[in-house]
Amino acid sequence: MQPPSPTQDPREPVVYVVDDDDSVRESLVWLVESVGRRALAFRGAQEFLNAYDPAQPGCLILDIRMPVIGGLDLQERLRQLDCPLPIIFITGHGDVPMSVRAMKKGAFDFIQKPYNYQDMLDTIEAALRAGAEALERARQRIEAKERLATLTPREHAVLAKLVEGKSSKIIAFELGISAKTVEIYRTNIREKLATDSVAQMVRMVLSTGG
Amino acid sequence: MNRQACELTGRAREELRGRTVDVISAPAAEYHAHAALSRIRSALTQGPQTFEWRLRRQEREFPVEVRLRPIDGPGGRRVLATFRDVSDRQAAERRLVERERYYRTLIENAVDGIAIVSDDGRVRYIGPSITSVLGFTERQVLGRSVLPFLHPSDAGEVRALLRGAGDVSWGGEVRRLSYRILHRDGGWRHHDAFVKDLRHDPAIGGFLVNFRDVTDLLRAENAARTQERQVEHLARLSTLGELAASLAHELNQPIAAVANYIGGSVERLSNRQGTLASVLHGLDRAQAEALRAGRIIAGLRSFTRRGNHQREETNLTHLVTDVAQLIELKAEMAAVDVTYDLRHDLPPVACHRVLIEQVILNIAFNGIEAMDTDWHGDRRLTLSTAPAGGGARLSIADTGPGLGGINPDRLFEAFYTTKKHGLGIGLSLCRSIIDSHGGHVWVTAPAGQGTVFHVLLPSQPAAAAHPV
Repeated sequence: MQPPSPTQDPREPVVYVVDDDDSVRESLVWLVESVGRRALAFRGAQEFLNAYDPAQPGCLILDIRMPVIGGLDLQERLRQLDCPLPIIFITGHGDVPMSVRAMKKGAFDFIQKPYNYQDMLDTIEAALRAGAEALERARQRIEAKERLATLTPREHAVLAKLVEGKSSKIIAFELGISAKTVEIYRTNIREKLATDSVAQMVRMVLSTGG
Repeated sequence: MNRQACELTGRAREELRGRTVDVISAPAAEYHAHAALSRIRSALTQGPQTFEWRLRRQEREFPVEVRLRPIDGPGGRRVLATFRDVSDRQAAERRLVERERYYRTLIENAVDGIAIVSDDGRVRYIGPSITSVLGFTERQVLGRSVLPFLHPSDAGEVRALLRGAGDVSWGGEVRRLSYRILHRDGGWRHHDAFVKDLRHDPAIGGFLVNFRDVTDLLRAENAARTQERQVEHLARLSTLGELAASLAHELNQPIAAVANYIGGSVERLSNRQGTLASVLHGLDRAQAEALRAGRIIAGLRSFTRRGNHQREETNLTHLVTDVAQLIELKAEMAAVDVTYDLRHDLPPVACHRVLIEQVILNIAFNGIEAMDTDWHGDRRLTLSTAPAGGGARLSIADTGPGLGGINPDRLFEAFYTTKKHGLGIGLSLCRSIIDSHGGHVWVTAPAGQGTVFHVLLPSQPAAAAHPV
């Protein structure tokens, strides 16, 4: 844990706070900063969307009841952006139906006001971990997509059969080419995808949707 | 026959001489000549006779009083008849009798009681209606004092009134009196009475008392008052219920902030990363937020605690500013802007503050609810006050969808509601409250411009139609 400083490592995660109530927003930032986390505050959903960079790791603390663009609306917009940012909803008394909706749509968690600050800090840490993992998965997914895009059609055909667990001999037989040619394709694929492991290749294919 | 006799009968002396009295008497059998003769005989044998007779002149009959007196003269004993027209006297007597019968009928059939009481409380006259009013007969009451029949806590006032009657201040005016009195069935009855001192009047010689049993009336009034209080209480609870969600939200904000500042301070102290100045800043902010929560509660308490049912002179604008915080609370939750156009130079109105504040809240909440989450137009509520029609007017305008063909008059009917969870008592209660203040409430809905509710309170309110 480090004290906050204006010059930040861009990979340093950010806790975004979006709440229209000045007291709640400012006090929450102050709480988050007490454990050395970086916090950025916005009074409305639009202000947040204008400033947000999807590549930035972090999490979002969001008041479920906000004027103009409500908390649930913002969650929906982030989903459409295919944004992996975990959302912690702050809910009030009697917001159970809204909380359920938020959870069904993939919210990370919700915390009911008034809350124990330690619970809030713990939830933030958990969300940041989840956010980092989600971002990593997204990064890997994009990388896999890019690598797969470099394969030739013939290499794609060989990869498809490799993923099915077939040996070079069978692939050679099924594609009507020599086993040696299959081996050359396999070398090319290994280099382009930067992995020797068939299991890794399977993950890459699956993560990009086949 | 003298000249007067000729004038009275309308006959010349020559026409009458030597004729019987049939010529001048009414044609009825009892006025025939032989009846006259028997009277004359009586006068001759028994002395002077006085009786009534009827004469006629042309076709008109009229009563006369006849006096026959025997006179002894040179020609032997004769009878002198004198008579005078008593038409006027008889008519007057008849009128008197009729009049007496008229008043007697009035008194005997009156539902209210009537009595004449002397200054020691004794009943000198009692109307027959006493039987229906108190169950006693006239005879049971006459001559007895009323004081032992009065409720102990009222007897003193009545005694003092009768005894203090000599005061100059009493004058000739009618005094109003309320007391409880024992019915023959053993129960207490509430009477309303009017008392006039007529001891100087020889025909009355006492206090004239008109009294009426108002027991049922009082009971009905009490029941109505209780019922009204209950409805009003219900309405207040429902207003508070509507506020509860807003209030919980509003209070949660500063409380959450307090928790954040204290948590942040604890973290800074325990991980030794924070400076003393930053910890002090956090604690300072925590205190400010706690005070903010306190102010919210104080505002609500001033609304719920004031159970004062007295009317007081007040400025309508002050009432609006008193409840502004509660209106803004609800408006904020609904993302509605509240604007004001309030005048301070209003004529004072006499009103129950709590009730009128209730009316303002009800109408304002309705306006806010008209702009629910489905409404995508302007979201603004405007409250304005102005002098109007000898009083003060409050208008509450929303920018919602308007009345949409709803009859504006039906809005104020009891149990009429357009809300999903409405009771339909809000606006009907508003109207009865405003009515009881002698005021007026109405609604206008200019096409496409939302709905405006107006409340007019007079600065000199008419007497309340019913107690509130």
